[in-house]
Amino acid sequence: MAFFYYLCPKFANKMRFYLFLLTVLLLPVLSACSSCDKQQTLVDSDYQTLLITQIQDCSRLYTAEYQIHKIITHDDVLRLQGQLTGENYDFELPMLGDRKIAIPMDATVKAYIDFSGFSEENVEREDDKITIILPDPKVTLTSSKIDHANIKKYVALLRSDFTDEELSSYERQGREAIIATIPELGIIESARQNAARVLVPMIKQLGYSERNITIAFRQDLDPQTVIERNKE
Amino acid sequence: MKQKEKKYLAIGCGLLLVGCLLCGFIFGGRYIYNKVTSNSLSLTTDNRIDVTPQQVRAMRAIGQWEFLALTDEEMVDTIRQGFFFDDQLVRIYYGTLRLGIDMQQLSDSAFTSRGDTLDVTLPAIQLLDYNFIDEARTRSFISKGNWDASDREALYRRAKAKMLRQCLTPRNIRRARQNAEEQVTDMLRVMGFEKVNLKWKD
Repeated sequence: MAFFYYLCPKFANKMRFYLFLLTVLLLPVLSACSSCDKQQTLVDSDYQTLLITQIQDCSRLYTAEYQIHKIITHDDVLRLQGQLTGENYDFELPMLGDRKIAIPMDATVKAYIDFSGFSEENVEREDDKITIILPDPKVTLTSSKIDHANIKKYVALLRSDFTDEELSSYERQGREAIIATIPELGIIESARQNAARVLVPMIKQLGYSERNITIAFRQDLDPQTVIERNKE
Repeated sequence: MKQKEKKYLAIGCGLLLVGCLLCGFIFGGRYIYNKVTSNSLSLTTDNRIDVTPQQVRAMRAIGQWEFLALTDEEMVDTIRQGFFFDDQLVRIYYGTLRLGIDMQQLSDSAFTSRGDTLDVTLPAIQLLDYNFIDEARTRSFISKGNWDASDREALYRRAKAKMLRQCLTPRNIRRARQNAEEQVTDMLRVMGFEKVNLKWKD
């Protein structure tokens, strides 16, 4: 079938119509033929492409990276809810079966120092001593990957399979759950220490002795304010 | 005469009875209608995920200086042609490609002072992380038919290839390099080096 589509694309719609008529007539015969599924072809259509690119000049020094693994789980129990003769009802329907899914995902969280506002106020020099006061570190989720091959699910006979939209919704919730726990990871402290490890060798090359270099940060930092969220 | 009066009385009583019955039907019907329409029953599910812990698999110190961030959205789709109907899956992927320099590639002689001039040699601009797609942000746009893990994985790979093609262009690399030159020069000037001679290690 696919071969004919490729061979004469102009007549594809017409052919499809005739084939439809023919198949309706031969439906009983075709319904017994399970090998028809094998004739399906997968076509990747590149013509439908939406491109939205936003370019931003920046100056960010990423100093710490955490790889996080999470298994998103969802137990989907069907409930009957409503009002009957003035009474409210809400109960589970286990007889109709439930659905369960576990989605493994990996996420990369990085902490950075934003140097775009770096100015004379951030540098204190006295003789051969230098103190760099760095801006507060920020944390962002830079990437995430769903382990599609290892998704486990159970769908009862009377229930429909998980839709792609439902899967995307669970994955987004899992992502938000990871972002919510960023302040507990301790990545801010790692970012500060690593910033010193990156900057001190560089400043040493500029002619300063290691013991004369001080990298300082603000101390009263609220961990909730350091998370950078994507604009939806 | 009396018989006539009796007849009228019977007719009147009959009419009254019919009226009463009619009123009863109207009000009773309305009462039942109100009761029935105020009833509602629906099958619902809770779409929230369970609260599960997460595990930090690895943590490492990095030194990646980003000078250009390219935030990209790509819509990719796939069609499976069936006998009667076609299956279609359209997903929108989000990613941010970060261009900059890896400070670990900075050589020991990257900064050398020559009189009042500081010579700086920076490593080449590169894509800082090849894992740039935030797949958990992906939106399902159209989903018709059944699709499995390999189909979604194939879409992910295509979205990644498209983003690389779209963003990792010589023009964007030039722009990142230009911004790097401005930022590094400004930073060194703030630290007391008025004359900075910046070169790239290509």
